[in-house]
Amino acid sequence: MWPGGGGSGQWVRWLWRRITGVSIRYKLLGMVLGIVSLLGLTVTLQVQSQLAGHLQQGLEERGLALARDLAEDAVDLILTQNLFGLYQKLRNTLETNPDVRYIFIVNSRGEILAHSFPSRVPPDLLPANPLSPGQPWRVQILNSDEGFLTDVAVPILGGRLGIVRLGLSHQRLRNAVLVATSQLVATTLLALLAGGVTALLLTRILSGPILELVDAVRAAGQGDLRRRPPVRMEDEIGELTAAFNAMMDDLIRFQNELLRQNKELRILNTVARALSGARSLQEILEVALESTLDALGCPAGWIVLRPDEDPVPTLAAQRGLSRAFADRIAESGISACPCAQAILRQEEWTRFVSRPQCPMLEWAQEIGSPEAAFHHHLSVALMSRDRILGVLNVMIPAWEGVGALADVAVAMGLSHDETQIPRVIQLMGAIGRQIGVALDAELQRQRLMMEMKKRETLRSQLLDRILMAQEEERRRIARELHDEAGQALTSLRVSLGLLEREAHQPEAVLVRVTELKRLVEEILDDLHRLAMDLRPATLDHLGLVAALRQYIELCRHRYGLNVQFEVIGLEEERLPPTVEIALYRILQEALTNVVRHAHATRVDVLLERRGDRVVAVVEDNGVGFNPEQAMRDGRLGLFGMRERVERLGGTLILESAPGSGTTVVVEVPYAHPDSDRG
Amino acid sequence: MRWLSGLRWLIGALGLLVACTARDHPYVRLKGEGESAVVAPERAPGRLPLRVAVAPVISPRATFEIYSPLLDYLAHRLDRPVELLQRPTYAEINDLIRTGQADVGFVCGGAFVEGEREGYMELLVVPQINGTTTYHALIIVPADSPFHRLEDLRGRRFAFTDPLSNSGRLYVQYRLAQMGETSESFFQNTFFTYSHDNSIRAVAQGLADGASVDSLVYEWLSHNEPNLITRVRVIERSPPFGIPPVVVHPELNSGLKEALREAFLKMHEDPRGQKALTMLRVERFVLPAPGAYEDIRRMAAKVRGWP
Repeated sequence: MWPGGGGSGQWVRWLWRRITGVSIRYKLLGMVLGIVSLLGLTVTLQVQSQLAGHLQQGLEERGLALARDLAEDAVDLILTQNLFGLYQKLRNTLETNPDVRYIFIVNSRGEILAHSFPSRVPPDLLPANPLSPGQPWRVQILNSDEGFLTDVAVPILGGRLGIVRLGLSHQRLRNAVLVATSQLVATTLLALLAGGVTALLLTRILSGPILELVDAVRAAGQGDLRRRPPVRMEDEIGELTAAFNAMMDDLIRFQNELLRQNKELRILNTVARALSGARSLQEILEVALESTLDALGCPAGWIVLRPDEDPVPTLAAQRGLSRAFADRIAESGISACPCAQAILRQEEWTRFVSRPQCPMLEWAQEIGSPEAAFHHHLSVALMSRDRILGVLNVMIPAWEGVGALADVAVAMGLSHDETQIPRVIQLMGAIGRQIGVALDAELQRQRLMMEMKKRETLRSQLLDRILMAQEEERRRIARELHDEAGQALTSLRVSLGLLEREAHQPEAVLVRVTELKRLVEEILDDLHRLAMDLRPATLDHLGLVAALRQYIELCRHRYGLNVQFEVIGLEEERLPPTVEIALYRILQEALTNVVRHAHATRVDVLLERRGDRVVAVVEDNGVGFNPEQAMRDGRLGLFGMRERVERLGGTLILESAPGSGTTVVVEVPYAHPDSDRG
Repeated sequence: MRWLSGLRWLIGALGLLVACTARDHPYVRLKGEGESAVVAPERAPGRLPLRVAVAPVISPRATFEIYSPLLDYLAHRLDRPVELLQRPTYAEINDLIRTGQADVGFVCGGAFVEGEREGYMELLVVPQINGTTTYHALIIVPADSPFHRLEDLRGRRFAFTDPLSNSGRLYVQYRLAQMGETSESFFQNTFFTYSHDNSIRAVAQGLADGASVDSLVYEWLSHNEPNLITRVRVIERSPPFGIPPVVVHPELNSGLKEALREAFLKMHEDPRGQKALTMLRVERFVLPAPGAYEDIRRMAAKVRGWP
């Protein structure tokens, strides 16, 4: 406890800690007692010193007056040598003034003319208060065996007749000061007593509420938030207590809010976790229904689903419903339940209905199915991206109105309070959205799967067609080689045989040679055309525009097609080889389609550079067709064109209708996205 | 740390108080036994003082003031200390001369004729004032008094100066005797003031309806205290009497007697003496004229029933 040493600073700190450590009651008590005793002591000291000063001054003045009177009266007595009269005068003065201890008169020669002492004047006294010539009076305080004395010396007749010496005892002065001091001390003690009692009462009044507050804070620290110290006074402590109480109320409210939100989140989390584990649409629906019902503590419910634009919703999942009830829902769709219908019509997102408002519940009561036990149901939209995919319906087993929902709230772990009902509905809405999102994701996934499968099918069909087209091409080449080159070569061989035979007939040889040359030229022509069809060498050497011109010329020549070809901004340029070949094949296919199907009299072909893109347009005035139908039917030509365009990162637009011609617009990037690779 | 400074302050205040009470004062023993105090130390060695007795014509203090230069002159002239003796009554002064306790006396004419008759006084010198060695008795009343004659004062209070005073009592007694009255029968009440200035004051303050005073004192006061004199009025002035003389015992050492007479007579020739004369309002001292006090003797004889 006691500090082990180490300087006064440490000691003072220790003392300070001890002083500040005591309770407020003792601090206040100490303060009051300290102030009172300090005040008492100060007042006592001051009064003592002032009183002593005043009394001393009074004593001096009195002594001076007496001595002056004596000096005045003594003049005649001395001058007439009336020593007895002088002595009587002294005695008289001494007897009528209790403070006067002694008087004596010394003449100018230092002889004592008269004195008041019993035998003789004490020798110490004579030189004790020397009066210098001309001095009107002199006061000297003397210390003696009888205490302090005030000695007054006054000259008689300017000192020519001597000096009166008068001594005043301080005894009565001291007594008066002592009495005053003791009275002050007694008053101070009384004030200390009163102050102490007052301070104790005051601290009781002051510290009581503080201690109560401390208890409440301690209890709050240990988890008891219900403790409320009473507000006893309208002072700062009262305000503090009121603020504490308000704070605790807020704390409880916030805690409840947190707990509620936590529960809601837990419910949502439970549903979400359950949903994340589900693998198929059906499983999602089952799990969503199950987890929702579990979370709400409801025994029965069902989900009506209307995926996509399907106008007829279906009973997708049910739980705890009787067969009859489920069948009736399944059969009637939503027509039986206007609640779900309203939600699907997007009239509202959640709907809380009682039996009189719901034909299904009425029906259940009429036929006496187990669902008659339910008086209400809550319908919630299963929403995703503002689309309503279905309705989640929950049966609520209670008797009266809104109380039923409050029971649900209690089942959810929320407080039984009607103000919580909108929260339940809100929570249900959140659950509905969550399920909706999960459903939507699943539906989306299914749609994507289907799309992919369709594409896969088209691809394999394309592959087949390509293989077939290759075979067809080979067959055509073979046929053409056989039909045309073969026949020409056969004619050539026959002509050569004739030439062999007519070798001796020069005229005939010449004619034959001329014929042979024509034959060879025809053969060369055919081979050239064949090669051209397979892959025009012009495309490699002179570029896309030249190759197209050649091909279009061929079409004109071969099929008598009136083709207008216009090039804008690409005359001088070469495009990347992949782009060139792709555009060439696309346009070739488009022209081939025109030749094969359109029965057109005029075709316009445009090749234009627009910024960093290349646009190709083929427009005919032919019979036209239904593009969607053609796509769906998997017209391989169109599909191949689209494939090529998409590979280049471009777009293909097909505008056509039966009887109004066809326009094919292809737009591809100027540089093929993969051209860097090559 | 405020409490610490407060404590320091308190200790300082207490210390100051202790310092106040413990201040050093001279210590005296009031009950000192054993050691004897010198009540009257021995006189300074030297010659015996010349003792000059002065009758209480005026108050002792005024006498002391007025006669001090004279005493100084005599002390210087005779080369010996001089002591002034005053007594409240003329009779006591006469006693001092008679018993040899005083060497020289300044007495009233009334007292002198008494001493002379008893044989213990003889004239030494007399003062000359305003060229004369006589004076008067003045009967005075308050200034607002309706009385104008001594006779008017019948049945009134009257202040006498001294039983042996000539101007202060004897003259009035003589006048009353001439009227066939005594002071007891004539006045309602009489009292002694034992000095002429006291008598004037008594009349001025209305303590007495009348008084008889020395004309010399009256003049001296009319010079020194004019306010006092304006409050009284003279209703009767006596015939001239012999001025109060300087007397000695007839058996005084004749050398001293001569030396004294010399000193008085030559006083006006000495600067110190002139100063003393000025103070006394006396021109000079002269030898007394024979028969100068006859009137007083006659009056005293009549009043006091001398043969």
